[in-house]
Amino acid sequence: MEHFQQIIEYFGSSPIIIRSSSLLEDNFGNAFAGKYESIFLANQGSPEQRYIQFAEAVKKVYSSTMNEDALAYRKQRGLDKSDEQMALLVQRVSGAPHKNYFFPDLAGVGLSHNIYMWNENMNPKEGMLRLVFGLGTRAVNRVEGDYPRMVALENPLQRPYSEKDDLRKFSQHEVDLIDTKENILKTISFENLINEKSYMDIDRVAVKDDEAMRMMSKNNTEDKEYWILTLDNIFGDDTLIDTFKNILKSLEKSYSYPVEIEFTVNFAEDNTFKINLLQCRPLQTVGLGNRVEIPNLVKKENILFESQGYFLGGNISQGIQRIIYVAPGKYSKLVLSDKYEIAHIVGKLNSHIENREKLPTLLMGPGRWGTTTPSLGIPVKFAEINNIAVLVEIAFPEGNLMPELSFGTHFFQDLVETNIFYIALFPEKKDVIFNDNFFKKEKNLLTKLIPQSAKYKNVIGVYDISSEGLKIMSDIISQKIICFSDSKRTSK
Amino acid sequence: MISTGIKGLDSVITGLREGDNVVWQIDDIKDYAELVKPFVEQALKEKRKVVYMRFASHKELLKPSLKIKRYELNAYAGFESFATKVNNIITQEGEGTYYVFDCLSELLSAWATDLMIGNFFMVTCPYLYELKTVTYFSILRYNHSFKSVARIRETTQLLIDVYHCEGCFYIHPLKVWNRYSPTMFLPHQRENDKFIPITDSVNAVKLLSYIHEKGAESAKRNLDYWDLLFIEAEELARNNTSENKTKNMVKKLCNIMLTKNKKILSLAMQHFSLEELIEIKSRLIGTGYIGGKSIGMLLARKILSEDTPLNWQKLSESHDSFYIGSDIFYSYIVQNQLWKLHMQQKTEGEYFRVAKIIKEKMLYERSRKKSWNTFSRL
Repeated sequence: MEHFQQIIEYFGSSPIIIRSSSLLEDNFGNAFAGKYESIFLANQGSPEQRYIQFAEAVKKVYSSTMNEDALAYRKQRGLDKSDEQMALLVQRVSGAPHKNYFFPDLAGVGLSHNIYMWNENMNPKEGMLRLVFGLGTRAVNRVEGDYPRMVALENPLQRPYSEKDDLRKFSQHEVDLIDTKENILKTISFENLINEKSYMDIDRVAVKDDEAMRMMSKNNTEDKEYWILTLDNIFGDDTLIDTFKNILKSLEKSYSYPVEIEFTVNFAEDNTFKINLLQCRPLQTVGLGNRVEIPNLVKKENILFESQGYFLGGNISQGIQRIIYVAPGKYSKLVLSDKYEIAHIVGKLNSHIENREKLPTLLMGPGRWGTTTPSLGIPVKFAEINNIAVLVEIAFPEGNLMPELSFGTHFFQDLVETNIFYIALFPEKKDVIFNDNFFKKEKNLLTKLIPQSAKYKNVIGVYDISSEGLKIMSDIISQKIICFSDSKRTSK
Repeated sequence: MISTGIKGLDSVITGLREGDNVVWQIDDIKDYAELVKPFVEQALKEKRKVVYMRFASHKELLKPSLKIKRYELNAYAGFESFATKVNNIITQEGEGTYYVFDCLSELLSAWATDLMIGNFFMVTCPYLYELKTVTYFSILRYNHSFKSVARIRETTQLLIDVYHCEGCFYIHPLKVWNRYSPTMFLPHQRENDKFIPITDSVNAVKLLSYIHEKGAESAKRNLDYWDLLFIEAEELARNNTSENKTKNMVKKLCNIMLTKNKKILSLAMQHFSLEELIEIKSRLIGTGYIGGKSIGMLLARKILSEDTPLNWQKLSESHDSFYIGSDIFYSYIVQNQLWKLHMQQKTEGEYFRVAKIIKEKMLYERSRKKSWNTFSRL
């Protein structure tokens, strides 16, 4: 097509990205984010080669309308019979060359409403950023074992780990960039990037890891430098943070709804910066349904729980098929070794969930999940709950078991990165309903799933409730959350 | 032989045949109505099943009648749902049905581009042919770009010009597939039930130059309706005459280029000026919508630039993005013969299975070398 030629000639050999821009995407109510492809082109080579690469990329994005998860998503939302027209957005990649590489200093996602802030003392309306060094692919997608910098705009430097080990572990280690020499998009470690001396302004984004250098220098003669990508220096003065606060506020106001943006930031030598706004959309809902509309009148006996605030993960409308419930009263009376055993069983149940989408599971238990102190909560490791869709911590004051999830902890980071919705439930509070009679009519599948655990069948209940149409809905504006059964409950 | 209901006409084109798509190129919808009437009467006499596809705002071609099945279609629902509905009706009505479509040129006001009318024709006609139907279409002369008339000509079995000159009525077959007579492709003057070929050069020259003069704006017809609309918009922006007209144009352009989503649409109309829309169009490849991501980016940047304390101009890295319009996507599907599968994919039980096939075809059907070709015809 002659017009494609026009684009090829215009951008020359600058790297470009071809992004899906379908009609359903990014409008109010539909979150197709990440369902269709976007393709980076290093865009090197002769005009003919570039044309072919371009045409191939267009085909790839077009064909992604037929991707299974995009189709499943459309079907779930009743959009399987409606048109899905795919337009494309061809953007110049924002950034600068660094030797053979091309990437922006920073890239990320911004939310005008901090959906990961549940703590009462914080103001979710201040918004948040997920920032990475290099191309934004790592901020948009979740990569196991690698952590973008989460920034609460209210307090950007807040990070509760005290240990340097944690800082090292819960930071970004890999960088996405365009390799113009090899003409591809690739991922390399930050360590290599530094040691190849391909990025000069290290001080801006990272701090020297003296401890690692000391340790390494003992048994290594190589003159290698070790850094941790903290991005802390960027927040040295408030300019950048204030700018993002203002941008997000301004957009939220115009949209009359919380928004989500994607952007890059590039610094000049004098430390001034330019922001490239790549896109903006109304904040999306997780799970099924369009805009979450929480029903007003749900019969009390159909409610499993209802609460105000204390959840994180944003708007959700999620069907639930299995509940795993650890009874607080029973758990608190167990001896220490049994408490560990409970954690172990939960881990086994977790590994029974083959597909989180197909068997969305609600895990409920007393106190803090993932604690190392069994008297405060069930001492699971994160890998023992990683297939759960929704995690609930129930307050049980008699046993001194209280929910506690702080922003920035490992467990928190992993929940966010794995997209697990989190709720803290305080049954003692006014306005909170928790109806543990809900399970009484259900058959406990524990011994069927794990025969050797029969001893604990009074402590752990596993219920498949697919026929009940159980649903969890939350709304960040009213801060209401409810878990209820859609269909009429019939006694079995 | 199947009759047009007009004896003289039958002898000019040696009658209609099973599978014929007939496109009448007209100046006035009345002429089309006069051709439709005898065709339908004849068909009913022969106890044929007659279906009327009603979607235009022009006067109805056929009065409601028990003998004629009538479908009311909404062109504003967009190309895909329109073409899908038509496809489903054709499937349902089965072989040997006779169809009358409202004037296709009316689709321009809904779709704003010739290209998609060509696409509609390309997906619908072969199917009508396959099911041995006989179908009447019409388009308004001089209303479509040369390119889309060429695509219609390529696809249809018959294309016939209809015009008036000095009080006389003429037909002029431009394409009659698989049929030939020495005078077939000459203009014919109607005298009652007869059509007399204009064989002498004096009259032929006189007539054809008259017709040609009427279509003198041929330079414009190298352009799609879409481009003409934007030329009009540019003139409006330059002359800055009527605020009302400008506002209507903004609304129209937002509706055909930016979004179908009501909330986003109202935001767009509130923030974009006519000049800005023209600028967006200048970076749009093809026709149709720019899609969700593009509108999100443009709208947000515009909102921020209006927020004076923010000083966005100084803060922001400017962008020079291109947009590839949503119609290109459909054209890609249609021109690579994937439309049938596309329809099939939407039928019960085929959703995931056929999607896999389409995906494969979209990606691998043509070798890398042919990447040039897969887009070259768009």
